Amino acid sequence: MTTRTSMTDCSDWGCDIHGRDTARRGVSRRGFMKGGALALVGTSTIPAFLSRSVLAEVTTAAANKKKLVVLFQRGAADGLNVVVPYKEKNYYALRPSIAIQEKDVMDLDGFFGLHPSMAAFKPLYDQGHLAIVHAAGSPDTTRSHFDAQDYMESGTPGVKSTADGWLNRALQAELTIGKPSAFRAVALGTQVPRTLQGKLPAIAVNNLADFSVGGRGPQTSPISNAFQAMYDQSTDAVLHGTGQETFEAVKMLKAADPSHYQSAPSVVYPNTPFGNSLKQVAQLLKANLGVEATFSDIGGWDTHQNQGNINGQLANRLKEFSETIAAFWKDMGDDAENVTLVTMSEFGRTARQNGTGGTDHGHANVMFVLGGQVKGGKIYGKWPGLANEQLNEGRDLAVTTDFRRVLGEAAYKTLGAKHLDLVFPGAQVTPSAFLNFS
Amino acid sequence: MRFRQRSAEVLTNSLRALVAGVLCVLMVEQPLVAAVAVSKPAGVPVKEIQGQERALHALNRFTFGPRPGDVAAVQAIGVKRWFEQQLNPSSIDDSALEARLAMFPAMKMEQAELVRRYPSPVVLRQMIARNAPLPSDPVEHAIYADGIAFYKAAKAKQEAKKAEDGKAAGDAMMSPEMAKSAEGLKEKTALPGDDVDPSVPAMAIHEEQFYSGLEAVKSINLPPDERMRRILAMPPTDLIAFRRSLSRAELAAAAEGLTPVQKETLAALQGSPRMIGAELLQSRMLRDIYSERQLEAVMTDFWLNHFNVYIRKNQNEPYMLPAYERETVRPNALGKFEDLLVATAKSPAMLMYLDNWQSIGPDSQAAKNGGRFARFAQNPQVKQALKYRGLNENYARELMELHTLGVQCEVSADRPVAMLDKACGQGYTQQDVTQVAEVLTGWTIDQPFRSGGYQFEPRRHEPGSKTVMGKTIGEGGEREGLQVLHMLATSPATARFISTKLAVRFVSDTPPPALVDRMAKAFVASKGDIKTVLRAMFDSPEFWSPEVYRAKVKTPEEFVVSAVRASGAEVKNAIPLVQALDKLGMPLYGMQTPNGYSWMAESWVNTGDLVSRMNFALGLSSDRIPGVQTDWTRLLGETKAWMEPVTLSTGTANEASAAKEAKLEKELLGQAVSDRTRATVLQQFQDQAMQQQAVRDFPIKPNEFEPMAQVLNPAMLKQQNRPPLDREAAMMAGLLLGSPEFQRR
Repeated sequence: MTTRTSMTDCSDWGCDIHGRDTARRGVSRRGFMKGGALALVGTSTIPAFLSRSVLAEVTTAAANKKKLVVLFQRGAADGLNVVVPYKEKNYYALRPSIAIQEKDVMDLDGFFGLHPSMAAFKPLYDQGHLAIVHAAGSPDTTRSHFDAQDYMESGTPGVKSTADGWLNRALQAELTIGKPSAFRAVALGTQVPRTLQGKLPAIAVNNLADFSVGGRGPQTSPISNAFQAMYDQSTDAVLHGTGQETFEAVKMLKAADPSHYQSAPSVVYPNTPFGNSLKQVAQLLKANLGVEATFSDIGGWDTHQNQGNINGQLANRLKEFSETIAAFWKDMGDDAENVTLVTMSEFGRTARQNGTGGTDHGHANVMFVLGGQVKGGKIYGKWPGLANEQLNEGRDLAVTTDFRRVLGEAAYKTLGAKHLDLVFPGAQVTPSAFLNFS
Repeated sequence: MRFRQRSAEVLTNSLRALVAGVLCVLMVEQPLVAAVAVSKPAGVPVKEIQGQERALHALNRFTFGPRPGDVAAVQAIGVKRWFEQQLNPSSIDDSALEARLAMFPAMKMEQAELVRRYPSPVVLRQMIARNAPLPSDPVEHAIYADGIAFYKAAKAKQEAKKAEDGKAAGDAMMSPEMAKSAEGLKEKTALPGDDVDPSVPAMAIHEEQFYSGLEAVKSINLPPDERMRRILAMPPTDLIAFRRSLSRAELAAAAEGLTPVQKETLAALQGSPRMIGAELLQSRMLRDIYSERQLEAVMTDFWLNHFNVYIRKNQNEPYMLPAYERETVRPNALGKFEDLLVATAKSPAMLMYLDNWQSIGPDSQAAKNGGRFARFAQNPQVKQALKYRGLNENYARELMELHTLGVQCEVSADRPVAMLDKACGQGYTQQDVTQVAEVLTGWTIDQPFRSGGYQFEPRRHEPGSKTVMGKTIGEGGEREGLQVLHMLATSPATARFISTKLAVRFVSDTPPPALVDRMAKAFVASKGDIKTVLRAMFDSPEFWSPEVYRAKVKTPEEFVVSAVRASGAEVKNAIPLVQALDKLGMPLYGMQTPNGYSWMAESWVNTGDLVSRMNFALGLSSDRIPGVQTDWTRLLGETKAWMEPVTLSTGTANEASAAKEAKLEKELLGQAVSDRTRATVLQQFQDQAMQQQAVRDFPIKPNEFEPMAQVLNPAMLKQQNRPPLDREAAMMAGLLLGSPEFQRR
C-alpha cells in the first residue's frame, strides 16, 4: 500500500492521535495534519521534522522502529494475588491462607498493591512506563486452559475454526513499505505459537547461538547451502515454505550477529528459560534485523495446590517474571522508547482459595503494558468488585475489559495495524474502545 | 442397551456403514471390524497402495521407522500377519532389548524399594529432621550418609548466606499431615540432584578441583569389588571430596568393571532423582529404538502422551514414573481402554501430577477433623490451611476434558447443548466437573513420599450422593469413582475422541471422517478394546490410500528415533539423544501441561525445528553424537545383495558416488528421493574443494560428557571420536536424513 492512500485517510489520523499525550509533544498534530496532509504529497521540500512526524504516523512499525513484545503466562496466573485489591474486604475472607496482607503489598494507588515479589515492577510503574489493566479477559466462559489459550491466541473467543493468530493478522493489517524482513515476527522457543501462526512467515528460534546449519562460521557452510537447495526445490509444500524461511533467517542472522549486542553488566536476567528468552529478544531487537513483533511465554502458573502467599510457588514465579521484564527494559536502554510490551494469561483463578491451598480455574485476570509511549503509573479498566454477589458465576473475578481492547490498542499504536476488524474479527474493537494507555 | 446403541448408529450412517452395522449386529460377539473388512465399499473402488510401498507404510506408521532390511522382512511374512504379530507383543522375543536395559536395575524395582534404596530429597530431609538412624546395609548406609552430608554442607552454606542477607524465607501453607509429608518438597537448600532438572541430566559442570591426595587414585586402581567397598566405606565428607576430585576420565575409570548395580549406586551418590531420571529417559529411548515390539512401544508412547505426566512436577515425580510406564501404561497399551483409564486414575504418578491425592471432600471426616485440629495448631498458617482444606478439581477437569470426553463436549454459556457433537449427549458442565472431583475424593497415595501406592481413604471422601451428567451416583465410597470412570470410558464421545486422536497419530492430520466413524464404532462395539480399534483402522481402505502415504510429518521424537533406527547406529549412551529431543522442543516426560504434545505437523514444522533437525542429521551421520556410533561401511556392504549391480571399484569416481548414494537412499528412506534431492547430494561430491570445505565445516562439537552418564556407561569413553571411516557416505547420509523426504513418514 502506498503512503498516499493512507495519508488521505483522515479518520485514521484522528483515531491515531486520540489518546496520545499531545501535551508532551506541545502541539496537536491532528489539527495540523488535517489541513496539511494532502498538500504534502509529492512535495520534496518537506521540512525534516515534519516528514518524520508524518512517517511516524503512517508507515509501518519497521519504518518507525516500533516493536511489540508479547508475553504469555501459560497456565492461568492468579491475577488477584499479582495486583492485589487489598482494600476489598471480601478478598481476605475468600482467601484466608493465601491472601497477601495489606502490610506486605507494594501500594500502587491506595486500593491495589503489587505482590511483594514484584518489586522489580514498582520503579517501572512509578516512572510511568508500566500500565496495569485489571479485570481483563475473554468474553468466552471456558475454563479449559487449552481452549482459553487457543481463543486468546487466535483472538477469536468461541471460534475454533480460526486458522491464524491475532498477531500474525496484526502484522498483515499493518501498512507495509518495501520488502519485509524475514525477522518481522519472531517467537522465542521451539515452536511458532498460535498467536503468530498464519499467512505471514514467522520464525521460531530457541537459541540464537545454535541457529545455524553445519557450523557456526560467519558464512553459511556448503552443507547448509546443499540443504537450502534441497528445500528450495522440494515439492513438499509445507517443508518447502518453511525451508525457505529458515535459510533466509539463518543468513540474516549470520550477517547481523546479534550475539555482539551484549547487555550492560548492570543488567542481570534471571538464569531461567524465560530470562534467557527475553535476553535474546533484546539482542534481536538491537541487531536491526527488522523485528516488529516477538512472542515468548512462561509456564508454571497453574497453582491448584499450595500456591503460597508472600513466599512460595507463585511468589517465585512472579519474581522471575518481573525481574526478567525489568532486566529487559533496562537492557533496551534508549531503544526502550520504541518498545511496547504486553502480557496476558488465558484466564484468572477462582476468587476463593480451594481445599489444597491453591486456586482453581477462574475468569478475569490482570494484564501489564510496558512501553516508552505508555501512560503508565495507572490502573486501567473498571473494577467489578469482589463481593460474593459481584463474582462471575459466584466464583471468579468478572471480566470488565475484553482482552482484545488491550491487544488491539497495542497493535494499532505500536504496529500501525489500523484495520482492527481484520485483527479481531467481530470484536468491534475501534479506537473509541481503547483504554488510551498510550 | 448395546443393541439399541448399534441400531441408533445404523440409522444415522451411510449405506456402507449400514451394511457393516447390520452384519455386526448379526455377528453377536464378532468385532465390528471384521464386518467392515468383509463389506467392500460398493461403487467407487478405493485405490490402495501395494507391494513394497504397503510394507513401508505399515512400518512408518506402526513402528518408530524401518531399520535396514525391515521392509523386505515385512513383505516376506506379509503385512497383515506382521501386524497381527505386533498386536500380540508377548509373542515377540525382545531379549536383545532386555539385555541392553539390564544396565538400569533401578527401573525394575518396585516403587517402595526404589525410594528406600535411593532416597528422595524429601526422605533425606525428614531423616535429618527426625535424626533417624541410617540403614544398616553398607551400600544403603553410604548412599544415605553421602546425601545427608551433602545436604548439611549445602544448608550450612545457605544459612551463612541467609544470615548475611538478613532475610528469612520459608512458610508452610499445608496441613500438618501434608506439611510433614511434603515438607521441604520445594525447599531451597540443595541436595545432590536439587536444582538439577532430572529430565535433563545437564552437561554437568564438572568441578575440576585441583587434585589433592593420592588416596582417590589408589582407590580407582583397586579391583572392582574392593574398589566399591573402599568407596562406600569412606566417611561422607571424604566421599564428597573424592568424587569432586576426580576428572572425567578418572570417574569413568572408577566405574570400570563394576556391575550395573554398583555403577548405579555410584551414580546415585551424585543425586538419586537425577540418576533415576537419567535411567528412565535412557531406557525409554532405548526401547523406542531397539524393541522388536514396536507397536507396543509406539502405543505406550501414544498413551504416555495422552495421559501425560510431567517429570519436573516435583522431586518425587521421577520416582513414580518408572512404575507408571512399566505397570500402568505399557501392560494396558493394547488392552481395554477402561482398564488403562482406571490404572492411570489410581497411579501415584497421575494422582500427584494432577493433585487429586490432596483433594478432600469439604464435608468429609478429614475436613471436619482438620477444623478440630486447627484449634490446636500453633502455626497460624497451618491452622488456616487445616481449616480451609477441601476440594481440588484439577484432575476431575482434565479427566473429562483431556482423557475421555474431550473439550468439545463441555457445555458453557457460549456453547449450549444444541451446539455439541451428537456423541456428547447432554455434555458436561463446570458443575459436573466439581461433582466428579467430589466423587474422586479419597483417591490418594499411601505414604506419598515413601512407598507411594494407591489407596482409597474413606475419611477424605465426600459423603452423600452426586450427580454426574444427569446420572445419580449413589453414595458408595471408592465404587463411585469406578462407576464414573466406567461411564466416561464407555461414552460414545470418548470413543470418538480417542479414535480421532489415534487416526491423527496413525493416518493423517485430517483423517477421513468415514475412517474415524468406523474406528469409533469398533471402539463402542468392542467395549473399548484398543486392538480392535487398531484393526478397524488397519482394515480400512482409507488407511492405505495413496493420499495418506507419507502424509505425516514426523514429530521430533519420531524423527530422532527413526534416524537412529534407519542408520543402524549402535547406541551405547542414550543421554545425548534424550538431550537432542530437548533441543527439538519435545523432551521425554517434559510436557508441563496435561494436554501432551501435538501430533500435527504445524506444531513441528518451523525454522528453529528444521535447523535442529538438519544439525542432528549431520551429527548422527558423522558420529558427533557421543555414545552413538554409525557404521556406514557395514551398512553399505551388508545390503549389497539387494542393491543395483554397481560396485564401487568400477567406473568413475562420480559413478561410484552415485551408486553409494543410491544405496543410502534406499536404506535410509526405503524408497527413492526426489531427483532434486539426489542431485543436491551428489553435487557435494563433484567438486573437490567444496567437499573439503564441507568436511572441515562438518558440525557439532563433541558434547561434554555428563559425569553420571560416564559412570553408567563407561564403555563409551573408550570410543574415541574417530572420523567416520567413510566420510563420503557419512556426509551423504547426513544430507539424506536432513532432507525434506526424511521428515515425513
